Amino acid sequence: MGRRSRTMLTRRQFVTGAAALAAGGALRWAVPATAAPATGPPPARPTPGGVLRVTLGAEPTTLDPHRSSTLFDFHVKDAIFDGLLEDDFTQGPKGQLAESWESPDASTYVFRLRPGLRFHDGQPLTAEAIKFSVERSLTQGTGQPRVLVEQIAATEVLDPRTVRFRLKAPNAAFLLDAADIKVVPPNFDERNPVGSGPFQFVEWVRLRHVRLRKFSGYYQNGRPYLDELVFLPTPDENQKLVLLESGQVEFTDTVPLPRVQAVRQAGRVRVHGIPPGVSPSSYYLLTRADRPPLDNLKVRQAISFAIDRKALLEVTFGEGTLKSNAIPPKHWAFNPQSVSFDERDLPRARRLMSESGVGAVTLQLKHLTSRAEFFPIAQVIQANLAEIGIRVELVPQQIGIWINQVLVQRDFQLGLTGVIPPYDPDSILGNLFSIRRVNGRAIGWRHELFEKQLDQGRSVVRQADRKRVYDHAQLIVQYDAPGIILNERPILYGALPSVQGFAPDVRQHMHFHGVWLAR
Amino acid sequence: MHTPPWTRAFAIPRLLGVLRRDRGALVGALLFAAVVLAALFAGALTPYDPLAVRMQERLQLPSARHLLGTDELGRDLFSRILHGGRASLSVGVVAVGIAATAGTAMGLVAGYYGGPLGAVLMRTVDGLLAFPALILAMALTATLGPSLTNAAIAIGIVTIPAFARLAQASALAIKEREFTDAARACGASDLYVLVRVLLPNHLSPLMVQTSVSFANAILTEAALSFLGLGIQPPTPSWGAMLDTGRRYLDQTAWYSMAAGGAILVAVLGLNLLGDGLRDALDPRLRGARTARLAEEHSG
Repeated sequence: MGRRSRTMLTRRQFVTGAAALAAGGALRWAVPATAAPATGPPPARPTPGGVLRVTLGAEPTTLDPHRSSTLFDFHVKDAIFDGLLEDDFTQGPKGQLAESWESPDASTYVFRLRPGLRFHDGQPLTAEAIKFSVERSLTQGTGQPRVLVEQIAATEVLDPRTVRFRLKAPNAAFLLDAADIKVVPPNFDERNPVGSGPFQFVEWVRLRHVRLRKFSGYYQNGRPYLDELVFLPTPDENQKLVLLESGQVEFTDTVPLPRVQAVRQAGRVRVHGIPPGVSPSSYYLLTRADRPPLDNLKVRQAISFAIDRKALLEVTFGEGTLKSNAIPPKHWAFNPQSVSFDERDLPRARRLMSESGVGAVTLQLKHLTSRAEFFPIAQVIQANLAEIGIRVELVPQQIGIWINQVLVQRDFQLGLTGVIPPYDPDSILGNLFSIRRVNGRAIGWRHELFEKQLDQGRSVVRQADRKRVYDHAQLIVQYDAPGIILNERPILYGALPSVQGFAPDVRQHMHFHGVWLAR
Repeated sequence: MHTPPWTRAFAIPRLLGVLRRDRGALVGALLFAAVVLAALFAGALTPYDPLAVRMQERLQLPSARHLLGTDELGRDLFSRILHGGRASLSVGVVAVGIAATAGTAMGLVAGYYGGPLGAVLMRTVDGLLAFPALILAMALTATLGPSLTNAAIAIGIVTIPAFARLAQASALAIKEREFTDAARACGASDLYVLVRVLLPNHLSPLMVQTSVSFANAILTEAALSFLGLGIQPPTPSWGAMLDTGRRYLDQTAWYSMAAGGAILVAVLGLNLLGDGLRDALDPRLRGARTARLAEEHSG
């Protein structure tokens, strides 16, 4: 939950999550080679043209890039608007509107724009537009887009192609944030949103579709390849698959987990996804760690040891990865020395329970209903914890209610959700556990040393130095188990075989500027 | 033992006679008896714990090991269907118990006394009736909190009007009968008349209504559980199984079919039984049937 952590998100989450977002140095964003999307042999030459119809789990709430809050807002916004940098950092920072950048110190960032940039309506995109967009986010923005710019003390236009940000405090990971500041022209009108992204707005018919067409003045030569991009709000996952299999859409934003295997075998539709072990996407069980009985360390450890993560992997039909650490196993910051709950250890869980002095107890588990798998996951937890004398009552809640009760009111004991923090270890550990951010505040776990480690991680630049810091932070958080990680939540997309060039990213963002249709 | 004449209408002994004559009612009774027995002896009929999660065996098709296959958490479906019957039946018993007791009492009192008291009672019932039953039950369970007990209470409350109106109609008719006058002439108190005269003579329609309402209660419970407002996991419930099963229609259609089949058998059994009882016990219908037969055979 943080900057662009969503699935289950709200503005409120962003706020804190984003506030959190600091991290990283001028890092080499090392990611294992497997992170590269494997979409078969390198395709022939992209052919331009065609329409790509994409399902969306829900109607966007707004097309104003400075007010977006849901994952669906982000999907559409990423097509219409560009930022200074591309937002997938797994391969390191890549320029989007910015052609180069430098940072004399961790509080000052200077970006040099590409020459000849234009908005969809033809007006030139200059450093003034960057400054305007930052100011607009601050005055009219909400949620995550606003929080991103709150750290900026001053935006200075040095010349039409150069802009300098001075931050209120050092933030070695500011580049990640810069990627998410979307640029709009000074006469921006939400009803006809103009940006500089690969696709330009045509129409939004509520509950029917959002239609975009190719922006021929896009800075990347030849891109986008598609003539049109159409988003179709389709809440039902099975319905999405029917639309895809019958050729009424070319792309779906999710694939129902129970059907993934059958769909793969049938071969009529291709399933795209992130290789396992790379994405920081997780199922996440929050515990109310400042109130009995979950303020008892041994109870939390017992719960984490009692949960059968292999069984949970079956719930997601083998998609995703077995993990109990928020840092994904293939991440450079992953610490294999920290406590692992990957293997269920029932005897140990029972021993911890009896040592805790907490007798038979009933806990309420509030879980989301936004994805089909939350309910069976909650039921597995319920069955697992029954074996260590914890009775679990399940309370299914819609996302708005869940966020209000669990994250805002803190009226919960156990809360089950899904999270995708940004890729930097500061964001991952901070967004999930730090008392200074949304999830951590809900959990109520106070650990000074852990917070100090996070601060230190933001101030050092070399990856090896940062790794040492986060190794330590993982030792703390894995031992204390304030929040419990329950495997990687799989991110899957469905596409017709004709869809080429789609590259899924670890933050569940969909990028279509490189997509083309084979004939 | 001496039985006063006004209590002779007692209907239970007729039940066996009805079952002998009416094949539909017999089938209904057998189906329902099977459901009841299966629920009572669920533990003995299946070796599986209905709550035991075995993920490696999830979503299996029916086999010798698992007669109806397994659910999404590897739990034995046959076992869950049988245990689910307990929940459905207990909701039925509690709900109909509440409705029959409260409804009949309200109806008899309203019908017997009439006047302002009767008006107040029956307008209250009409008020209840004005709400669609399922919506009212949903609102009640949402307010009380989803659980088996609360579902039973909610269903009981929404079923009160059916019993109350029936009892009031009976009371209006019976209080004009000669044997009621006779009882009163013998110095019987109002309470005696209500309990020993009106109630026994109301038992026939009450039995019919009970069987039909019981079936409705099972259906409503299934609907509430389907919507997540009824019995809470991990306790098995037919309605919840129907809901979950539909997500796995691709993998095993048996899941939903088993849950739906169980609901079908229980409700069909009760309705057949109820129909048979009504045919046999309702004097007007009995007359109509005879008249119809006479018509058919006269030409």
